[in-house]
Amino acid sequence: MLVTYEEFADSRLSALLRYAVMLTGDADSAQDLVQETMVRVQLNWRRVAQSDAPDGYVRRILTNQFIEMRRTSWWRRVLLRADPDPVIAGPSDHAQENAERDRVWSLLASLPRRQRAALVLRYYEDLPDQEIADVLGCAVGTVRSSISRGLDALRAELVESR
Amino acid sequence: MRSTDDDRAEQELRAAFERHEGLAPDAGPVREKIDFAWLRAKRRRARLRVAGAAVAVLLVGAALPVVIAGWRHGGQPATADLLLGTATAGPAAGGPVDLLVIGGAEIDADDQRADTLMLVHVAAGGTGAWMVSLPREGEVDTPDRGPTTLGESLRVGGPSMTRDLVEEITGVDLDEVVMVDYAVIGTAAKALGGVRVCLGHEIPATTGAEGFHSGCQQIDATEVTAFLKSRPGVADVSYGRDRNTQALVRALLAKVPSDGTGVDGEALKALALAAGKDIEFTEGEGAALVTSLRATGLPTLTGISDPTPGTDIYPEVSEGLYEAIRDDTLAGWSSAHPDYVLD
Repeated sequence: MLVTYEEFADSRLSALLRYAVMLTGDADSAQDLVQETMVRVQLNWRRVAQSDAPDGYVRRILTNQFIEMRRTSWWRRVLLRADPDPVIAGPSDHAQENAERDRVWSLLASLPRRQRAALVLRYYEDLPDQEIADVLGCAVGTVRSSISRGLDALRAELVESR
Repeated sequence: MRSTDDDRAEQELRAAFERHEGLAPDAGPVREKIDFAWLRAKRRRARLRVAGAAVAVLLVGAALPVVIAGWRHGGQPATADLLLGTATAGPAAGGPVDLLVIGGAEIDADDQRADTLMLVHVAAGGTGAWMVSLPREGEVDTPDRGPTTLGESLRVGGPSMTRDLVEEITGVDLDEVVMVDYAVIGTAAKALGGVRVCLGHEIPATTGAEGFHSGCQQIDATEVTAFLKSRPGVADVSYGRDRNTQALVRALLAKVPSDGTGVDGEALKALALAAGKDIEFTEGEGAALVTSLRATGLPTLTGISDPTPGTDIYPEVSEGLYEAIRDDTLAGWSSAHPDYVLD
């Protein structure tokens, strides 16, 4: 029995939105990305449902769409928006710690999209290298070097901030 | 052998992700937006799932109304009404229009490779039109099927995949995708009494396909498919074929009389029927295109194709060209790049 689009959306939409937030860095872009992906998914639902793993298939579409996304959303939004993203809001008793973590978050935004996607798939989605390679459509070696380059950048930032 | 910095970086990363989970929008409202966008996409898709309608319209846009006008009294098919935009259609669409035209022999059959792909751009106000050929051998990468060619993508993922790929490559939002069976072009050629095309090179005869000599010649309706499918005797076959296709379409358009005289009315009726037989217009935008073309007369049609050898798609000029399509500034781009232009 193939899963219907409605069942899929009911069970997976929240997780996809969270994943998209990790990729794009903000709620609006995440929503746009998920919306565009899901429209595409719905148009091709039969093919998606017949695939071995609809979930992985959709994640692949979403990820590739993110990587290919026209480069308008992130920097333009960040530069033009007067007030900062609501991300930073929250109790400030751990202000020091938060600032540090927000630095990690901003650093993610500056990474090439492919690298960022690799980091999200590894450290947020907890996928093994092979599955990350499948999502990104590249070799396992490329995944590993993407991740290690991303971590290098992060490490440099953390050292600097001490 | 991991340093502690490694571990710390990884931990910080996980923490940062976890910390921002709350940013994710609620699924409910997003679901509604998706459903709304999906309805719109579905309508847009249904609007012109047609064998040949828009190109036939482009080709005979000026002549067709004349025929239909006389036809109207005798119980005209509903589709023709839609194809033409009814008398009550609103003001002409002002903005530019971008169509993806996928052509081939028996193109609507399943498992079909595209022989021709072009992005047809009609400038705002219908003042000019461009056929930007996309090489069917052009290498593309699909999210789920890996590397393939543009022409092959039609078989792999259907018109929607080809559409997605072209939108991704060019950044152009396509208004319509039009599948054109070469037979429809043959019918158009018949309606117009054949066309005269000038070739700069010979097309050698091959098994099952007649050849064409270099120089100017009359091409009849029955020869159109053979002409469009032929392999020109030049080094870059794909480029040569794109140029021939553009030359033929330009010649056809040039023959469309602005007042409908000298057109084989019966053949034109057949064309209107063939083109319109599976039209599923649900909104008026396709009709608005026709209305706007009728209002301004037929635009001049310029061909653009890529003389660069190899399987990359417009490797030397891609960004500038795609930007010119998006910004509706192809006229300027064309005059700056004469080696890409057929006019």
